[in-house]
Amino acid sequence: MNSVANHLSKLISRKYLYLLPAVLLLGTFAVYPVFQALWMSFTDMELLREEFNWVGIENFKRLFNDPRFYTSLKATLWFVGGSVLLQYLMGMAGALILHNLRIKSVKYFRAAIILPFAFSELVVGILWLRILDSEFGIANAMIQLFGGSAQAWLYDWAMPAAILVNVWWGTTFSLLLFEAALKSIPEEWYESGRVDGGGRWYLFRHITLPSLKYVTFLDLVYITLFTINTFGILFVLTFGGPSHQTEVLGLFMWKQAFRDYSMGYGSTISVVLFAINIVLAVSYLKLFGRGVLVEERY
Amino acid sequence: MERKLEPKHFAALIAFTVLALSPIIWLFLVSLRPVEWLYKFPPPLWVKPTAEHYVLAIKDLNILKSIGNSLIIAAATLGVNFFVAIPAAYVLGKIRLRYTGAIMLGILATQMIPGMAALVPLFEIARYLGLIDTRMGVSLILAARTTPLTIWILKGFFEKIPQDIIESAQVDGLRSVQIIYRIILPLAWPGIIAAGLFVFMMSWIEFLVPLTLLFEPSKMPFTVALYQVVGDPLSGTNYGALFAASVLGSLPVITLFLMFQRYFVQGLTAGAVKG
Repeated sequence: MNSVANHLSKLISRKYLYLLPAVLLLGTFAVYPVFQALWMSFTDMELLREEFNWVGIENFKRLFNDPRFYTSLKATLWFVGGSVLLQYLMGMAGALILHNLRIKSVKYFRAAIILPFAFSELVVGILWLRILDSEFGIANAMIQLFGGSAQAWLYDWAMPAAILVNVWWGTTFSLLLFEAALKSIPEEWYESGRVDGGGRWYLFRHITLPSLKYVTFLDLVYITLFTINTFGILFVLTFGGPSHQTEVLGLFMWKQAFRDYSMGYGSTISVVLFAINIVLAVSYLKLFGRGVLVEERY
Repeated sequence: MERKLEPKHFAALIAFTVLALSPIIWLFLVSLRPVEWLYKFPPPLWVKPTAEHYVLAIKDLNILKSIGNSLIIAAATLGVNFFVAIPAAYVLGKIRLRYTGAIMLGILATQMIPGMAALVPLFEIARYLGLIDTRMGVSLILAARTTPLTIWILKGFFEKIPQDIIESAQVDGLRSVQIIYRIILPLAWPGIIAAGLFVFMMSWIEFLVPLTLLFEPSKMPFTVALYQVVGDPLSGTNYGALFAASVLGSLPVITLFLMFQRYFVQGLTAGAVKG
């Protein structure tokens, strides 16, 4: 009995106290909703209706037989794949540029470059809706000015346009994260690399990239999660159209749960999204190695 | 280290800035444009500016009051977030627990369902805790939503701080809380500023949580106020006013960023790694 008490007091040693606030906050507001969604996915619950039935895996069967689900999966793949890749590349490039330019005015440039993220998805959506408007938009006006022909951007180019807008809005995240990480690489490491006769590309490959491993993992996981789980821009820009081409899973879920009031079915889509997210996070983890979770100490 | 300014570099910087800024400049130009000019094709680049949308936003939409609410909500969110995340990131990154890997994954997993799906359960929890129609309720939910990100970012930055600095501080008799405030935080400034900015911006532009939780118009952040007064933005109502209000709403973010940027630029240069 005594040893159990001992073991317990060791386990709940003081260092765990530092986790307590996080556990309380996340336990209350973040963990419970996940379980609630899981539970609801097995019911036929509807918004604004009290009674509901337990339906077992009916919702999952319905989902996996729903052609719209597969269209949506494909749209999600394109939207997330395109956004993540471009945001990573643009973010890294921007961070390198800002970090390496030692001029005083660089702070104003930095403030300008991160600015898109200061606008809500609603405003970003409406702004680009106006810019890309096939009748009144400035994009077509510019193109015609240079002799091109007007395009129905949000119809014929819906997915590329959506990705572009999302990248314009979201690159701030990768950029600031990478720049912060670049600033934490000790200058001495580069100096010793230079002593070894390494050129710029060599230094980038052998010092910068390995030092950014953790942050790269973090960036990829997070922009993937953000892009999968939010759909505000698409909501305004295309509302999933034309013919469901840009109806990503998040938007598909919203339409089921909040427009058609099928909370149960909507929750099922959330649970599937949750599963996809876990699979993706674990794949990134496999790719980057366990060192990103617990850093190896030498 | 000195680097000379290369034209190629500078050109890339200009290109980046133009890409990021030109749609926002367009938004600004449109916000200064009389309503009757909004649906002209081709849209003229320059129209004699009018302040009518700004007057509408400030007088009728009372946008300044709701920007004040946004500031309260974002600041409280950031406060709760840092209070919770900094100690957690410290034990996970520097002290280490037996299950650090599992805990980090668990923290990440809380971010894996769409915010939209969590709205109904969150509303129930808020009602149970008496947080309905309070800005604190909004802040707590947003803090919970952003805390995992802060823990993940700060853990990475804390890990980079050499262990011997912490050990020598422990030998000097500093308690953990003192170590965090005197040693860890000053060395992790870029990470803290980046994380803080993300949290601030994410709560600044959040729309659904306050829309769901708040009822009293005088408590609404500006994102909700926009939506309510402009009406359904898709039906093409007066987006000039919407843009004007958005311009006003972005000013605090720019100001704060310019204010805190010098800490962002301060890397691990404070003499930490020399010894």
